[in-house]
Amino acid sequence: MSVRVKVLPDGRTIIVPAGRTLADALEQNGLRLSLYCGQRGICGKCFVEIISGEIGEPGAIERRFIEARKLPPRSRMSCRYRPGADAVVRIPDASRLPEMPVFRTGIERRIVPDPAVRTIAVSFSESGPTADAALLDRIRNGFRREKPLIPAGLLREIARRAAAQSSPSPFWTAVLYDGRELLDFVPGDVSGSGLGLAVDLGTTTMVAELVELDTGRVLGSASSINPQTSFGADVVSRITAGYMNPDRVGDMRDAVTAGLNALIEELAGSSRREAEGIHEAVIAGNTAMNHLFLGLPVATLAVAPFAGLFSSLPPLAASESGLRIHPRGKVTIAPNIRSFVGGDISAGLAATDLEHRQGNHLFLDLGTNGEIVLKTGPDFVAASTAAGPAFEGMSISCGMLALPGAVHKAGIRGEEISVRTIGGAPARGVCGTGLIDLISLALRKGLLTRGGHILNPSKSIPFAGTLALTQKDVREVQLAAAAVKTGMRLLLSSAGLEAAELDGLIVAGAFGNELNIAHATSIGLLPRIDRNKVQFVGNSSLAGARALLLSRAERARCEKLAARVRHVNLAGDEEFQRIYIESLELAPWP
Amino acid sequence: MDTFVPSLEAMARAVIAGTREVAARLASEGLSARLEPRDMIEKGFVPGIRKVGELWEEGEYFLPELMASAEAMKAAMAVLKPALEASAAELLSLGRVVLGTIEGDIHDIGKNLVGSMLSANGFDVIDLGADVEIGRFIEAAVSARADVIGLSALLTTTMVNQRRLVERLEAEGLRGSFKVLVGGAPVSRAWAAEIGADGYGENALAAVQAARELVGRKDGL
Repeated sequence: MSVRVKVLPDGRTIIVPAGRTLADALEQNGLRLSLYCGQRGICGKCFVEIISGEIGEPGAIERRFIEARKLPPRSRMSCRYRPGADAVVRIPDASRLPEMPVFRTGIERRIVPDPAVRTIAVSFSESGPTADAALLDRIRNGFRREKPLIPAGLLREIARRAAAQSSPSPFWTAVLYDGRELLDFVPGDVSGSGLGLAVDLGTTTMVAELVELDTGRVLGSASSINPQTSFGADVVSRITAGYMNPDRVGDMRDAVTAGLNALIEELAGSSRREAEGIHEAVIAGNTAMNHLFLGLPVATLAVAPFAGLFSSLPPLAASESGLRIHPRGKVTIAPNIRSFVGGDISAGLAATDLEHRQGNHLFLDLGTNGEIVLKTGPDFVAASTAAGPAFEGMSISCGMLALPGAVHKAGIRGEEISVRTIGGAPARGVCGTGLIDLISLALRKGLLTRGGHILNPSKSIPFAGTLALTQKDVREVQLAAAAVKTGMRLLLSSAGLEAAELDGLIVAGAFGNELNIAHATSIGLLPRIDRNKVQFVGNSSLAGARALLLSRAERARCEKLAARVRHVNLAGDEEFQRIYIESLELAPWP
Repeated sequence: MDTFVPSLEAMARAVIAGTREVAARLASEGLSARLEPRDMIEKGFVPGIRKVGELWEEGEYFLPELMASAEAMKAAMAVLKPALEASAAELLSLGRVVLGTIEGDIHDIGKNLVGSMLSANGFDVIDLGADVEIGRFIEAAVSARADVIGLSALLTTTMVNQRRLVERLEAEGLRGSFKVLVGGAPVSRAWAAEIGADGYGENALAAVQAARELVGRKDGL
């Protein structure tokens, strides 16, 4: 015998088989509720209001929540409510599973929060028939099933907190990790207050975001230069430092943890939260950064065949990581794919949901290294190319990062090249996007040959006041663009694909979402492809770290995907040299 | 019978333009017209490759042009060399270079360019490839009676192996037998001096110049 339940405000009527919970039936019908504690019946997040029909018999926990949270009296937890007759129920917004955007700008992608860290209010009775049970047993029994591990140190703290209470609190809040380990247990109902940290650990720049785990809301973000820079500007010199002198590995580890701890303090301060309230951090960095963050030797990354020590690791204890978040919190590292295609890329793949895109897609993360992932049907293949720092404005005579005063766009007005700067400030230099524009325009104006030779009698390309590109600058751009172009061409040809057969091109990294597609295509940095198929996603490593922080499902998928991506060594390809030399020409793809 | 006699200027132009087929054709047409192979090389093709060097210095030529010109030179030499008397070939060879990318390093475009430019400029080049163990460099140099060992390293982590090669030569009492030429993106003149190498080339043409100096033949072919 099944019953019919009308669901408001959706207006749908669903069938609930006899004996089944409303939560199960709603889930089955695609009406997603917050089943935060995994239907243990303890978190009180899935309450619905029974507008008409039998309300059944609410349990003690439900009655306590209704009273404490001043819920409508005819409320039931949907994971406990088994309708025995037709009914009408209303789902309040608070009980619905929210969806949160992965990217703040750019592509539309939403995920449903499913954080590993959950803060659950549990009732922890001091009296009654079980009052003589051991404290630990009473706490563990509060979780009903899948009783979590409780570290001895935490038990000591709980005992101290319980003893310090003047009157027993009806609720305690458990901080539960992955449903199986108790990270903390504090008096009062502070459920839903869990915080996490998402980190893009770049070789040059690190960015951290403080995130509310249950809503996905970003409370603040902070960034700084990676303090390891004093050991070497780029990733290879960082590896070299650790290779030549293994003691440096520890120094670099200390430097990066100190830098991250400064960001954590800054975020906690600006968001008026305690750093100890952060129970998990997800770090997305390249393979070398991940190794150095853990203080692992990098000698094997230094020389051929360039093997790393790990690709994927279980979450480690925050106290062990050196990060000053909750000492029993967890630190999770986005899985590395290979030595030069790291967790920043696997995070980027997760953020952009490359796995579920139909057809053939190319993912390109441009920085000092250009990492490329090609998805063809179910297959993934990745490679890295040494683009050098030109696209970040480095190694260019008048180059600079994308900061105020950087020329970031250029066009032609009348006969002249006209430029725009970030923030409209007086031009101080040129950043990556401006550089691409200028080279493309110089070609169009006949100031430059496709071979990259400046024809201007001044042997320079002036663009703003006294600022000008030199012959060497053009050569730097040629080398950088050729590296990226060669990587893309080789990956495509290894899959037997033409660029025209791509269904999408995702560009992450240095260029943000500013890059002029027509200009980039004219010099061959991007393949000739319908511009509607190109998406700029900016810092997908950070977006991915946040997605992994907020969703265990995303994390599991990312792990699986990272292990599945095939890696090719471009330098080992016999066509590499020919295509590379050919690609130095500032020309659209053949 | 009328024979078409190609001009020496055309030979130079074929190298400058990097047209391999044209260079090879001019070389064989020259042989048919009974031009002296040595004259064709010294007065035709070599001035061409010299001009390429100048165009590189001036920034007009870049790697693709350099590569194409080296290929054109190589194609012409492949036609002319068999026609040279053994003594002339010996005279025209600037020396023998054993070349490779150092142990632990797999990057070899730069090394290949150096090899092409060295042979275009008259060196005999034995290219050992990439990720070449130090011992193999030494064995090859000994058995080929090389004048120069050329070591490329593209990573700061692998350039340390350049030092190891110099040390190994010393330990084996062979340091005096070979000149050591180093290059690669992270390598500098200071580094070359520090490890006791004999020469350093910042780019492919600079490497040719350095190799010439090492064998005491600044004149070229």
